[in-house]
Amino acid sequence: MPNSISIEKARCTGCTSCVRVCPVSCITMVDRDKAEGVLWKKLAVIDEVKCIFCNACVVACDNLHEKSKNKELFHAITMIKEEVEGQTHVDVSQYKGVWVYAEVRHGALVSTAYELLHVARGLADVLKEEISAVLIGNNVSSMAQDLIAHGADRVYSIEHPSLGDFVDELYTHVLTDLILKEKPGKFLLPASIIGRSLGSRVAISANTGITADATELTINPDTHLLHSTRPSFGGNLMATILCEKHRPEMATVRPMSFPRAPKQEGRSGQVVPVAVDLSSYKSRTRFVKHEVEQGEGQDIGAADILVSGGRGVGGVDGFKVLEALADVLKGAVGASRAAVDNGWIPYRHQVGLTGRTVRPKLYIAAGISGQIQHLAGMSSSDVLVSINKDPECPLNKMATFSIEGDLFEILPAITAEIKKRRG
Amino acid sequence: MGLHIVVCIKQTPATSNIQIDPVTGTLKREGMVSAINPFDEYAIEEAVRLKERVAGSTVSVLTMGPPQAEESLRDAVARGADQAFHLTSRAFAGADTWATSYTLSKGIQKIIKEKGPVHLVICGKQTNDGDTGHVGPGIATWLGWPDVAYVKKVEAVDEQKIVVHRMMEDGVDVLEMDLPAVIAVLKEINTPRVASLKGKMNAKKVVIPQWNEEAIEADKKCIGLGGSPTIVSKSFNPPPRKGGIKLDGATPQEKAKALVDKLQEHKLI
Repeated sequence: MPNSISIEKARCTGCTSCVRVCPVSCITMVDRDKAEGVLWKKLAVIDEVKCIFCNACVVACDNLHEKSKNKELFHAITMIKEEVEGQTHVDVSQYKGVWVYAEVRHGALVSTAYELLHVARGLADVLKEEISAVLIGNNVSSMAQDLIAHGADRVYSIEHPSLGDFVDELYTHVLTDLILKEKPGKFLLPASIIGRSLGSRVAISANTGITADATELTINPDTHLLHSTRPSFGGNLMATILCEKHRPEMATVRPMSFPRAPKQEGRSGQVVPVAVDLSSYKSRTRFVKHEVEQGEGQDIGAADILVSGGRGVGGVDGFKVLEALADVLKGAVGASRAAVDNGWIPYRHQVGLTGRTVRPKLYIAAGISGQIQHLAGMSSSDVLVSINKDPECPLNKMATFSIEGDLFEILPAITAEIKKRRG
Repeated sequence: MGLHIVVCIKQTPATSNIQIDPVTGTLKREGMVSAINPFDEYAIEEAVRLKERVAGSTVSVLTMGPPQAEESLRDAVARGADQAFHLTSRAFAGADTWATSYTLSKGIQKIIKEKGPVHLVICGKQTNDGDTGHVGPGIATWLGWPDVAYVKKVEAVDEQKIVVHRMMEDGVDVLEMDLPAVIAVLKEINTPRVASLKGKMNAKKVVIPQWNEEAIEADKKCIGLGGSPTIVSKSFNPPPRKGGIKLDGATPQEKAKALVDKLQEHKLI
């Protein structure tokens, strides 16, 4: 039978809890017919065509039922999921260990590897399993000891002259082979450009599920399942995702969301060189070259401090006061969509829904009002400073510290003050 | 000859429409309007530009979604696509990225069967509601084709190969792929044009086939909620960010001092 979902009218109080958690906005509140003689004015109605059967509304309503003294109320939504016959599931007991993908980009180890090792340590301690890191590249085995010092018990080193730079299908090929052979239980990758591209391909090749861009990862101590929580709708809705019947349980982890695992000198571990035979493999992708973009400044996704400008910056020249402050703070310069669309600064600096998501320790917004599309990209920054002429704009209202004023007066004053204090 | 390009799009809630309730900090869903996922607009535009570059090319547009998603296919035709195909069935609902990319790959195979070879599939970088960026590479994997995601420029293309520029955190990679292949494109790649009058006329009269799981010969174990390896176990609204302190001062210098004091307290400088 197909999936179905229904609401028991008598139990619905019209409280809208279900509406608030629905990720696809398929629930609406309608006026009840007065003739029903029910106290509650509103009734929830679910659009079955739009429903994705995620169970969120059922959980919300059942939680209220548990808390409520009146057991006649809530527990109003019934969902029946289709059971597909004949699905083959893997023997999950064969899959052990927590793996992390230690990203090597243009020959250098990326610091997300240490963040993943931190996350993996938390998971592995609950599972009482080992942590393995995977390196792919050309001449990468020299990085293995560093990963061991940061918490890896084992490092798989996949080396080949053809693997010097990231090529989607080739990397997928060698990584899938290793996964099928070694059977890890959990596999974390960074939610970077390489990690997201590779993670998706590997999940399908290895016939398993993947959660994108997790910001919270825990192990259920009873089921040993990985609970990956991720923001969607630009952080306005959090969803916890499980992969119950396929292995490894995969997730990409948002960079800068976790601390780096500490380095322990003298920590020992095993380095496993993985033999790669590509003689019969015909790659249809050729890596031509890597170009470093000149004068682009620091990558906004990796910066601890960001100084971002919006419409209020007014033009290309306006960004100079932001650059001056970013310089003294050793931070990077970001921008809102308005500034990028006006051609004041290149796209690579754009923060927000159609740009990049950042999570710096300090985010200084100058002349950005705070449209939701922008907030989606930066609202989880640790300390948020907003400088705007309009004290009522959304960003000034939500900032940790807000300043009402002209950014062209305030920013140079901040730069000067920091320089003064440093002597 | 020319290229046959398939653009995969999704109808999502329009971002220009999203508002946060100031009291609860949650999304205001009333009056939300659906539109083509903003990243997919760049995918459609790029396909139309490649069609203009390579004589004799055709652009097909494909979506998986409920009946009302047909509006977005017509919108894509108005923007310059030649034909559109709609994968729609209750059985597709609730698909995760694994099952979605499977279903779309079966749709592409059906297009190949009906209309002849496909050279290139173009997707947007990600959707504004799911935000995963997984579906483009996923489609390529199901089809057994190469792919490059995060494409900011198509340098060269002919019926045999494509040369693309991929945005990286530290610059740009240039890659060449044999066709058929899949690319997922960034906003930076172009500026979408507005629909022409001719396009709007085409959009009105185009006949859009609707295909269900039988039509695309999909394995029922791989589609929809039941075929998805991942499930949403719960979803919740994060607590809204609490407003902080407004720093006052008679002059910009005083305000700056107040802020630098706070930043020092927080050990940020």
